Amino acid sequence: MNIDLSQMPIIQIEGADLGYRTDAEPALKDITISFYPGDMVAVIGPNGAGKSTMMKSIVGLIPPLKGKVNVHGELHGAHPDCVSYIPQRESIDWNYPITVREVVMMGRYGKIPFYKSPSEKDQKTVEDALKRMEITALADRKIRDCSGGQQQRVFLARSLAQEPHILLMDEPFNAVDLATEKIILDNLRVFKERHVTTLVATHDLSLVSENFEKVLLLNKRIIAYGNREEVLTDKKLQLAYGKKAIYF
Amino acid sequence: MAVLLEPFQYDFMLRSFAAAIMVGIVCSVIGTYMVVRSMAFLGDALAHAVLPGVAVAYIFGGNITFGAMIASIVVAIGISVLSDQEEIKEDTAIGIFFTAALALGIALISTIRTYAVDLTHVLFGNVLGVTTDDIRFILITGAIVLLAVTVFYRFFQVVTFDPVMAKTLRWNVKLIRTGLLVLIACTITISINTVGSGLVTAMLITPAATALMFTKKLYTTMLAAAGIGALSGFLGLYLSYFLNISSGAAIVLVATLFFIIVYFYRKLFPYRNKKIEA
Repeated sequence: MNIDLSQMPIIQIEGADLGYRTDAEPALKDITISFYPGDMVAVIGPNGAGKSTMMKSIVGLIPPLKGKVNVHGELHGAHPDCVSYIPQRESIDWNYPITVREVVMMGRYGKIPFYKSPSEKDQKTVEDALKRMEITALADRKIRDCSGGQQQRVFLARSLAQEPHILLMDEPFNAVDLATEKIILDNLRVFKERHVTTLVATHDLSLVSENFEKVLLLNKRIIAYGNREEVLTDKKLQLAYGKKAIYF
Repeated sequence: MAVLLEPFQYDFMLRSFAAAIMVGIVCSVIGTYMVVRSMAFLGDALAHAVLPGVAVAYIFGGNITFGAMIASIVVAIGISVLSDQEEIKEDTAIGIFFTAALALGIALISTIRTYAVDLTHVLFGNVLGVTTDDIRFILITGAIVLLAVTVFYRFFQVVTFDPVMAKTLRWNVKLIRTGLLVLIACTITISINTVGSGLVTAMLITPAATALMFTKKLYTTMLAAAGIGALSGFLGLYLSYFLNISSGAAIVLVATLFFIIVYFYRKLFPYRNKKIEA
């Protein structure tokens, strides 16, 4: 019997309440959704809608308060190294003494035993990732001395080097230059070709409508999920953002 | 010329040099993590937390250094466990634990009548009084700390740079962090004889902060800091012999001088990247 893997959900969330235990209300309530290999999904919604919470739950940083969050059909936590998460800029210490190449090499750490040095393959993967993100010339630069856009590319290069099955990016287009935006979008397509499931949280709705086929609209619950034509309608956006919102 | 070599004639001075250099190296290496994670307060706290251990060891006639080590490790683990609760921030946990340990130390010491001399040694160090046993303890503990930093380099690097990534790799971040705190506690303990608990924060922070101004990678920062720390230990002790001042204070002042020199050098000749279009 042949099983088509692309028809098996890679992320399965069932009847889940997501959020921190200490919060009075869960950030997201009663979430049931599945994502499949190669899905490239824009996650949109107003501030506090639960976009970050959803990503943190999938990556395993916040256990679900109720329900299930499964990766590859197993409880998350059972799968080291297959989920790559690029957090919002604020959670990184940019003064750290580390070069661009070292950050990208971190993507390989899940695959290298701690007592071993990176292999030739690891180094080649890192160089390929640097090249793809067009930051080879910056490789020996301290991360602090890169521009915001370059730093964002460094972290995407790290995710490329990690060769994950799932890529989660929280607000990658915030405060980046146009060149970086284009490189990120081009490489998201590369991830898609590799059947990586990609979730991108963003505020930029015009960017979403031009570049993403699937859109997940959140506001403390799932307002809508599907192809962009079905989700990016006035009615549904008003449900999430309120009546007076201007979208584009 | 012979006058300049005078300090090296004495066995106690040679022992002191060995202690000062080793402590300079170990403090600077482990201190690099503390500088990049802004943990200066933690160093100060652990240094003061040795007091109850010292007092208990003194009262029962045990080994004072050993007592100090137990106390600082207990406090390190306590801080780590307490700050893991969501309601309590790390600096709050540090504040609670270290003042409690300090108070316990003072309470215990106030029951002793003849403590004055030994206590000043804990606070300000007495490198000239280190015995062969002390030296052995300093060298072995220091070597273990350096070995641990080397072997677990990658874990400490990721946990201090991007703890979220460490969690996504399913590493036991809590364990790694606690391990780092215990290494810091051990380092502080071996520094008590040399610079004293009052000044050990300077040895942890200053050489690493100096190195950080001109290095790009974590391990180069550590190596440069170790060089600065070792040189500060050596020069400070050497100068204290001739100037007849407290050796711990002299070591710290030399380290501070290095910091000031590098700081102004960087101000005068700022580091510039080659312009790269990307």
